[in-house]
Amino acid sequence: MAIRPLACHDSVVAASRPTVTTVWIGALALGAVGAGFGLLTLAEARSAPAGSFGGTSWVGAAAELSAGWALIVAGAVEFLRRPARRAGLLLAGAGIGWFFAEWNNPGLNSPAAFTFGLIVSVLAAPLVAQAALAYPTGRLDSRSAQGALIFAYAGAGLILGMLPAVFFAPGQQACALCPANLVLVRSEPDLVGGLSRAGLILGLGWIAALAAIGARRLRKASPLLRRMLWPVLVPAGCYLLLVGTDFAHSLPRGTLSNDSLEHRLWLAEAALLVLMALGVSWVWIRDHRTRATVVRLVMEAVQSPPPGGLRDVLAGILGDTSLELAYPVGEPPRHVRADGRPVSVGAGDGQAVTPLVREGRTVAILQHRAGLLDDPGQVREVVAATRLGMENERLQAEVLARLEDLRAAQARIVATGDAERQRLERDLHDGAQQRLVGLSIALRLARPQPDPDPASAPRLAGLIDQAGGELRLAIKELRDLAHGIYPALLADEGLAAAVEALACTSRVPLIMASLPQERLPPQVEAAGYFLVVEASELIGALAGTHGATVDAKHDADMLVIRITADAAAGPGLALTDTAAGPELPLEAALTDVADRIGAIGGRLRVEHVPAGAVTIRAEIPCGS
Amino acid sequence: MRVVIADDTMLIREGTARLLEQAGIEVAGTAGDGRKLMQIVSTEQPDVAIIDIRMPPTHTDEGLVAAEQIRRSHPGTGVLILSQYLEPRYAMRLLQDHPEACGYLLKERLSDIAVLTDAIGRIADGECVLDPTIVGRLVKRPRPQGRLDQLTQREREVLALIAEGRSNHGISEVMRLSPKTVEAHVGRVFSKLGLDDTPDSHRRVLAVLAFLRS
Repeated sequence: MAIRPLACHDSVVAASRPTVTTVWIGALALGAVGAGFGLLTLAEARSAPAGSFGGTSWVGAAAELSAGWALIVAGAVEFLRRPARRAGLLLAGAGIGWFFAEWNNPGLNSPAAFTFGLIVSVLAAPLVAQAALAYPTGRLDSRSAQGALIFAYAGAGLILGMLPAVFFAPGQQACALCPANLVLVRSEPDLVGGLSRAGLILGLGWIAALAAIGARRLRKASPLLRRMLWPVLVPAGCYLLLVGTDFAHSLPRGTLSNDSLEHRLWLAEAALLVLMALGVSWVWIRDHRTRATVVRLVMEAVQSPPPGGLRDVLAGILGDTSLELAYPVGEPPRHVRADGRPVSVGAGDGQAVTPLVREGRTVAILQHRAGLLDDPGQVREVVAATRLGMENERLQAEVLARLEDLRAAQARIVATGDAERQRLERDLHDGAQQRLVGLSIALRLARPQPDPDPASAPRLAGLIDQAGGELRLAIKELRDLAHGIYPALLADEGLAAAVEALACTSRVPLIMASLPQERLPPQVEAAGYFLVVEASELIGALAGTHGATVDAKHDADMLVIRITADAAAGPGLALTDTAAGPELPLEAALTDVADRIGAIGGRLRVEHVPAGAVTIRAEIPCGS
Repeated sequence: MRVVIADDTMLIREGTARLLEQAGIEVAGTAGDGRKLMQIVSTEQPDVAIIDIRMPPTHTDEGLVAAEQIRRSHPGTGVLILSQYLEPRYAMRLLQDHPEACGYLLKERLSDIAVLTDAIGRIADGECVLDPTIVGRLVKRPRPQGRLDQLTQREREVLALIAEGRSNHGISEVMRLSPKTVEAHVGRVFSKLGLDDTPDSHRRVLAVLAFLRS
C-alpha cells in the first residue's frame, strides 16, 4: 500500500536529534537513492517511449530529471539544515513521487514494475501537497489539512491505485501488450472503469480542498511566515491545479493517459516543481539574510539602545506592533518591561505567549499575535540572534525593577509613618486632651461654692485654681505637640489650608504667591507641607531675611513648590548659627524632607541666586 | 437662656451641663453625635447649641458641618463651636457663611465658666465670638504688608477686641478708655478697612473677617 504515514504530529524533541554524521549519511543516501531512482525511471521511460511522459525527447528527459531531482536535492539540503524536522524528507518524498507517474507504462517489461506503477502512479499529487502544506516544520497545522490529505491519499492510492489494480486484467482489458498485473484478483472491466471515473471526480474534490487549505494558510500566516511560505506554496498550488486540469480532461475518457495535452500539462507540472524547489532554496537565502539583519539590528540595539529597546527591534522584524517583551525578575517571578515597570503577559484575545528559553532558563517572554512564532525553529533563531541584547536588557530590567521596588518600599515607609503620625495626633486630641478637659471641668465642679467651713475653703479653692491652671497649660502643650506631629487641617482641608495656617506660627512673614486649591494625594500633601515647614524655619534662621514667598503650582501631575527667601539688600544670606558657608548647612538641614520627597519620586534642590537669595525648589509627582 | 450640648465624651458633656446649670443656664438636652444634636435642636429650639468640633463617625469636622446646618435651618439658634484646634481657618469657615450668632472657643474655656457664659450670652444676642487665643495669634503673626498695617497699635488692639466679640462698652472697660474714645477708634478702624457704608452689626463681622483673612 502506497499511503505514507502522515507526519502530522512528529515532535521536534531535541533529545532524539540525530548526530551530525548520521545526518550527512542520511542526506547523501537520500540524494543517492533519489538520483538513482530518477535515472532508473528515465531509463524505463526511454525503453518504452510510447507509454511514457519523459521518454520521447531530451526535453522530456530534462523535465523528468530536473523536477524530481530538484525536489530531492532541496529535501536533502533541508534535512541537513534541520534534521529534526520532517520537511526535508517530505520534499524528497515528493521528488521521488514525481517519478511514479512513469511506472504504469504498458510498454514496460517487468510485471513487478508495471504492477507497482498501477498502484502508485497518481501519488505524486498528495505527496507534493503534503510537502507544501507541512512546510517548513514538517507538521500539518490544522485538522482540515490532515483530513484533506487523508482524503487525497485514499483517493490517489486506493480509488485510483490499489482498487482498480485488483480488478484490472491487462490482457482482457484492451492492453494485450501490457506486462502481467501481479495483484489481479478478478477481471472486472466495468468496475475498473467505474472506480477510475469515481477516482477522477473525487480527485477534483481533494485537489480543490488542498488548494483551498493552502490558500487559507497563506492568507492567515503572519507577515514573516508568509514571506517564507509563498515561494513554496504558490508553485505547489499551481501544480495541483494542473493535476486537476488533467483529471477534468481525462474524465470523459474515464482514465488518465498521456495524450498530447497531458504531455504538455506534465511538462508544465515539472516546471512548477522545479520552481517549488527553487522556492525552498530562496527561503534559505532569505532566512540567512533575515538572520543577518536581526543580528545587525540587535548589535546596534546593544551598542546604542533605541528608546523602545529590543522590544521595538523585534516588533519591527516580526511585523507585530502589539508585541510585548517581558523579563521574569524577582522571587516569586513577576514580569517587567525593559524599563523595569511591571507588565502582565498572557495568552488570549488573539495573543499567544512564547517563552524564550536558554540553557533551561526562561530569559524572556514574548507576547505576540497568535501564530506568529508557531515555528519552534524561528523561536530558536530569535533567541540566538537576540541573546546578547536580551541578556543585557534583562539585567537592566532587573536592576530597574529592584530600584522600583525600593522606591515603592520607601514610599510605603513614608506613608506608614504619616498614617502613624495622624493616628498619634488623633489619639492626643481625642484621648489625652479630651480627658484633661474633662478633668478640668470636674475640678471646676469640685471647687467649693460658698462653703460652710470658711476656714478651709479659700485654701482649697486656691489649690483647685492652681491645678486648673496647670491643666490648661498641659492642654495647650498637648495641642501644640499634636499639631506638630500632623496638623488636622492638612488631612481635613488639604495643602493650601495647612500652608496658609502656617503663616500664623512661622518665624518669618510668609507670602503665599499661589497654592493649589485642589486636593492632592495625601503623601504629596504631607511632603509639600513638611517642606514648607522646614524651609520656612530654615529661612527664618537665615540672617538678613525679612520674609519668604511660597509658590506652589500643580499641573501636569507634578506639584512644584518654590520657597524663596526675600533677602534684604546685603552681602547675601548665611545661617546665623553656623560658621560654615551657607550651601552645605541648608541642604544638610533639609535631608529629612528631601528623603520624604525622594521616596515618592520627587526631587528637592536648593538654588543660590547670585543676588544672595535662596530658593528651595521641589518637584513632587502626583501620579499613583 | 436655653442651650443644648453636643460632645461625644460623656465626662465633658455632662460636666459642662452641670457647670452651666450651676451658672443658671438651662440645659435643654445633650447629644453624643451630630444626628442626635439635630433632633434635639429641632424639638427644643434652644438659644444656643454648644458643639464639639470632632464627633463620630469620622472625628474630623462633623461639629462644623452640624453648626452650618443649624445656622441654615434654625436661624433662631446660635452656635458655639468648642474646638481643640487653634486654627483660625476653622473659625473662618464658620463665620464666613453665617457671620452672625456664632462663636469659636478653645475647649479649655469650659473650665472658665465666666468666659463661657459671657460667650453664650453674646451669641444669643446675635454677635460673633472668637477665642482670644486665636485673636492673639492673628494679631502677633508676622504678616506681609497689607491693609491692617494702616492701623495704629491702638486701633489694632480695638480690632482684636471687636473680633473677640466685645461691644464698644466692653472694649472701653477692657482698655480703660472712655466710651467716646473707643467709639472714635472703632470708627477709624472701620473707615481704614473700607467699611464706612455698612450697617453697624455687619461692619463688626466684616471687620473680623478682614482680620481673619489678612
